[in-house]
Amino acid sequence: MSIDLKTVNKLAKLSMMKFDEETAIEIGGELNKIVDFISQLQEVPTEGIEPMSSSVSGTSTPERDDVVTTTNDRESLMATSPEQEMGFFVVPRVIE
Amino acid sequence: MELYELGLKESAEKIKNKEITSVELTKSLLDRIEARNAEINAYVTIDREHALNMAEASDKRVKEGNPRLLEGVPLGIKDLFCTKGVRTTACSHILDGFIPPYESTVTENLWRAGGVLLGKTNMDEFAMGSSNETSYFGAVKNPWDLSCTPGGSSGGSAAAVADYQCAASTGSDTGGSIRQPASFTGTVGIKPTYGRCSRYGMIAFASSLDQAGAFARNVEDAALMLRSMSGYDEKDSTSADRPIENYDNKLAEFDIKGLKIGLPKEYFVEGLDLEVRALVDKAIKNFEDQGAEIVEISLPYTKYAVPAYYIIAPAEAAANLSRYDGMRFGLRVEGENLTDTYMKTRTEGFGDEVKRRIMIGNYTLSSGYYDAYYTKAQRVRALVTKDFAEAFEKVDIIMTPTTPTPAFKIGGKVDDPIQMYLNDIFTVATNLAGLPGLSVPAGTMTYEGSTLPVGVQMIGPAFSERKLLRSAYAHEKMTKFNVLPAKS
Repeated sequence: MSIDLKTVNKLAKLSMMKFDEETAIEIGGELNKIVDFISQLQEVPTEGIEPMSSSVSGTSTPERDDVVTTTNDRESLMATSPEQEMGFFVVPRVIE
Repeated sequence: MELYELGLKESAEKIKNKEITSVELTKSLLDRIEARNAEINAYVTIDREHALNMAEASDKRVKEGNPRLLEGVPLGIKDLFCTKGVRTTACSHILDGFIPPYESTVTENLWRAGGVLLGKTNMDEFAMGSSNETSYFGAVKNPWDLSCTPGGSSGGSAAAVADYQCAASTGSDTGGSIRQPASFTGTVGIKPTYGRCSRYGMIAFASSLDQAGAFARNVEDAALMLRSMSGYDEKDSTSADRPIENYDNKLAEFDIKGLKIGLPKEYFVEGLDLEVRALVDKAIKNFEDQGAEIVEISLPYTKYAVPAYYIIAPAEAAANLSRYDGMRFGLRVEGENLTDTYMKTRTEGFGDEVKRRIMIGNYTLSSGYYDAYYTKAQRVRALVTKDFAEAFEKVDIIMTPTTPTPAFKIGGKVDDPIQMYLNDIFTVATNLAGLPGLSVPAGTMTYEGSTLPVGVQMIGPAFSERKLLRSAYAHEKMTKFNVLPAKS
């Protein structure tokens, strides 16, 4: 199993990042080592074992009442953004 | 003795008894940090005015005869916990200048108990690392030896406690990020059961594994800190709806006789430093001499815990970190269009290790590989968990080394991700199974020319924190370990 330059570029796109070719080659080398390492799991027989996504069992997580609460106000949340105007987040042009 | 040398419980008692004021103690610690931070780099944000305001409010409460559990005691808070009005970045460039408009539940609980926010501690970027070298704010140095790492990811929190820059601090532990730095700095670090502390307002890394916990210079203080920060929170659907126990109460009332301690043979293997082993053996012998029953057990899937972890954690991280797009908070690097802005922001904003993990996460989650990697790792996670369940049918607690070696040198493993990952070999299985674990100092030894501490790890069944802390307390009393003296 190996990650080639094409795969690195595909992963970069999925990850919303971009690298020049030199960096992509370097990252590819590192990713290959990691993939080799995690591939050890292929030797473990797991037939009939249910995948476990959490250590929390359903019974210990009660549902809360479905009522409206206000935790944060708009102004303080907006204040964290790099650019805002008239109560809106300003983002780069989306439609050309 | 300087005020900054006081422990957590000691500080709270002295403030309550009006022997000292919170303002005096807070000033003493702020001065200590100012004198030491250039060297240790344990703190990334200090808000002196904010700390002193909280201290004054505490002193007022004491005057009114209304002190709470931790009234007026200054605490170090890992930069992973959102603190309202005080910069929180998870030590990532991408969260540049982020001032949270809300408070994490863990810190909210601490302030409700009277704690004072002393400052935000350094950490590996987004808690991804085992040496605190991935922090955007630079590496933290180990107070025992400045050429060594304090471990990670909660390296700043551990170093701050060891170096008397706070009596106790918060940490988070996704694969060992509390226990490993505790081992490296001669401090006590506890990661409770998954769900014991709320994750609300704790910047997410791997949500099914992340759990908050505490550092202190002794077991009793760690227990008091944990008690003050934990509890059910309706804002975190995975938090456990169980009453908080008074972990620090009657720690000494514990009979070792008959305690069944399991030693997993897979943890005493090649790669474990012989001197580390000798210190752990000595700790075990102490328990045996007091009547504990030592049982050899097997956790056969141990070997696969690290690879399973390095599939599950990056996969969850890739999903969690997709929120950083430069639009609503943190860093924005303008590009030619919206997509270009996303890409530039993320490429510049994340460090190398974070990028690696996002890429690996997206690889194991991508179509064609999902079942072979991600689902496979989840099945192995179930097997690792089953190992523990079977072991706890036979024993009360499990004792192991916390780390294969004491602290390694800064720069020592930074070029080899796999070597760095293997440093978590004794800690990750606990996170996969959601179990509580702690590290308590076992002694000091010479390693690569330095005198360094090393810890022993205790693991228990879910919600057995009290038993673990009592065992650790008994160990502490039987072990000759001197915490690092306060150097000036």
